[in-house]
Amino acid sequence: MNEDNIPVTPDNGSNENSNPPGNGAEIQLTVPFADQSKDIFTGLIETLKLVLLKPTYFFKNYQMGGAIGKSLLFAVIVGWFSGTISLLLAKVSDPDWSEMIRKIFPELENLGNAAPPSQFQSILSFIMIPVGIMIGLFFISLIFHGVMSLLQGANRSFETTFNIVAYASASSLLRIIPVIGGPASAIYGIVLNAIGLSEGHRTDRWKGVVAALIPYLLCIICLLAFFQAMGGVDGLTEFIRNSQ
Amino acid sequence: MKLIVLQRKKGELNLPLIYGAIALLLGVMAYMLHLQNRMPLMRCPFKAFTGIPCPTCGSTRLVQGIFSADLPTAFAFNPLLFLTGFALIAWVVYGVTMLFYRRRLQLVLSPKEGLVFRLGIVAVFLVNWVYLIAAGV
Repeated sequence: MNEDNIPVTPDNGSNENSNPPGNGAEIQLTVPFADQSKDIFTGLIETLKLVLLKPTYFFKNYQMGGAIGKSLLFAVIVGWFSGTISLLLAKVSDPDWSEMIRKIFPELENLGNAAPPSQFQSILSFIMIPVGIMIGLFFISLIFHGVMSLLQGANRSFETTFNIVAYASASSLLRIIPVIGGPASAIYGIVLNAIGLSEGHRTDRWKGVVAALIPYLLCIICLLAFFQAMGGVDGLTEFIRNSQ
Repeated sequence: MKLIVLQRKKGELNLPLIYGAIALLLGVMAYMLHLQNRMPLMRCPFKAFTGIPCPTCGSTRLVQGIFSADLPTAFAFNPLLFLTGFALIAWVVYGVTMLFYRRRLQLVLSPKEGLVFRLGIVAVFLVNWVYLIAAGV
């Protein structure tokens, strides 16, 4: 229920908040992408470098509260770019994951067997990517903020959580790496969200980690239950051997 | 516990309307699929591997029940999600009133009340899950 007590940076082109130090308020830097004195491309590159290479410094020292427009635009640009490139790369370089999964789980026989999309569907999907990104950001932010509130870690507003999730989506840029890009992006995304939530909300690191892991936790429980059901390593090895 | 009325700040997000718009968009898409009888009945991997339903199991059938105006059946498929849907509608109505009155409500809880509130949410979530398992949804 707590609100941000950091005022929104005025758009005066300065790189620092106009908040006077010494009265308990923190000095927060303006995110390069949200800095109107910088052009959009320079701001984008600087923000990407900060998020991907210095996440702790970025989420601790840069302003995460306030308006969400710029962070939303950042996430849409990065997500659209990486989504398009990874789709193109997948056509030429990625292994057939659905074929591999079908070998392990024969019951998923229809996986990847859907008819290829028409040209119209492809164009529509390309146009709909930003809508999907926006819906996804709001959905994930709601889950993260809810979990942080349950853990008494949400010391800042919902907008802070949203901005953290939006800037942490920079990890999707890793998807342009062929073959390993998808898993690498997902794992680094968890790391960025965990750091962002704990630093941005000024709370314990474990709370950020738990909140960032919640969407994946069910998957892990699911895999463990499956592993148990298959009778451990021996049973799983036998199962895969019989499946081939 | 106190419910206080605050002046909305300029540029403050109207979250109920944002989430209402998202729900409306997804609802329209789901209804179009329902009309064409193409609503995908997804196989829950959690249920497939463990044999017990996950906390969100029954949601597709719940939506189908609502579109068929069979509310009791829809409720039985996942009571928590059903009630959450109605809570969302109430939240959106609140969001619309915020547009006109430029005020917002804030619930202020003491630390003890906050703890009870949080534990209550977890308890409701678990009770609903136990129901889903017992009912074999």
